Amino acid sequence: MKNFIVTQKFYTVINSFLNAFRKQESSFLKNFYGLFYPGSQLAPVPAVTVEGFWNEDTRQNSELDDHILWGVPKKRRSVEVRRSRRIGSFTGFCKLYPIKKLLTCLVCGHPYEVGLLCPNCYSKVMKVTQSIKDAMKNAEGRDPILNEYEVAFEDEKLKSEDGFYKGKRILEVPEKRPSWFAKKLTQSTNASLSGETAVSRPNPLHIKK
Amino acid sequence: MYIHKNTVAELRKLVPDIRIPIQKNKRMLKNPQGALGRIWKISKDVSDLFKEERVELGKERADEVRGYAEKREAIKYGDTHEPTMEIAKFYLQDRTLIHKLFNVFVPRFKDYNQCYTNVYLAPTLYTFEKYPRKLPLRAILELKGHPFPPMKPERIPTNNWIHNILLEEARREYNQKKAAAEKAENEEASSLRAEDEENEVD
Ligand SMILES: [Zn+2]
Repeated sequence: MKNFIVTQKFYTVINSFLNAFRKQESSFLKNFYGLFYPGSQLAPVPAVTVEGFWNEDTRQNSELDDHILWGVPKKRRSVEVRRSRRIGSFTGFCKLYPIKKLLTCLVCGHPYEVGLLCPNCYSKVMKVTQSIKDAMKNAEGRDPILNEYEVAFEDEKLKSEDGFYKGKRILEVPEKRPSWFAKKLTQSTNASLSGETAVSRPNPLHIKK
Repeated sequence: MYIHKNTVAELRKLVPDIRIPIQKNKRMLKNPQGALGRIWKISKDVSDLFKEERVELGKERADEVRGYAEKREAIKYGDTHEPTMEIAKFYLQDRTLIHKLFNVFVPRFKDYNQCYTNVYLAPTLYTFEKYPRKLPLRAILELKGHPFPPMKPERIPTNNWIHNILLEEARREYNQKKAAAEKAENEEASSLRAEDEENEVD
């Protein structure tokens, strides 16, 4: 069995096929004999009405009692059991249970679960990362990457002749730089890196002068 | 067993610091091919991570992949060492990533004392397929020093923070005291001058 690998699907099919022979009480032929009408052996099943099939003659002639009967629910399930099977119980395993341990995000003010990321911030960040990833794909193509990236958003202008800035490859993203993604903490977000335009002074506290 | 301090320091250089609990037994990552399929799956994720630098995986898978992404052979031996190149060829399925490994990641992580990756847990997802339920947790695995925005954005500072209010109050008090002291000095000086003038007159 060293070089022989059976896939999961194929294995289950074989196993279910073999199980028909493994049962001691019913043979393989008997199972299929029961499907046909006893008078004419090759007649298909849907042609036979239920009343015509399950009369006393058929019961005597064919050995239906010895055959397999498929599993069916014997008793009616109550409403409580049905719902607890679907949704889960409050005392045992809860498939859907109201979340009680919640905190408010200090950045945006949305509620989030303990130990996980804030859903609002997460969606915002992942949207920007996706756009940067798309820019990456367009920039590199099939060539190997040999330099680090410097992200330049739409409102920023980086001076470069060969597409490099301080030894880093410039990624141009067709979006505006989001206000919460600052370049440095001491620098305000709208400042451009080029030397021509004046850099605005940092004012992190939003103090009105 | 006695271990000298210096040997511990040397061992520190070989093994990166991952300050997280590591499972005793490895996860087999359910697949028909067994242990070989497990490594194949991991190599797929590692090459994805090295290509995109931030990737979203299942929680268990991310924890398993993290250990393989933190291999240190490339930094330790360089690109002239044959066994490291074999490992790199096995775990990075795209051949262009080997160039990226030695040109970008090795100089970036050369002087790191910490681990090279971060893991965050994504918020829970819900579906109404079949019946309303939660989906299993997912995690975000990323290499440090990436060009993306940080996963946990920093708070925007405001004047209403308690330490900002206290600092502002302290500054005001200091200014008031300074002004009062200056005023007092001026008054003293003027009074002295007046006395001097009186004496001169006499
Ligand atoms: Zn938030």
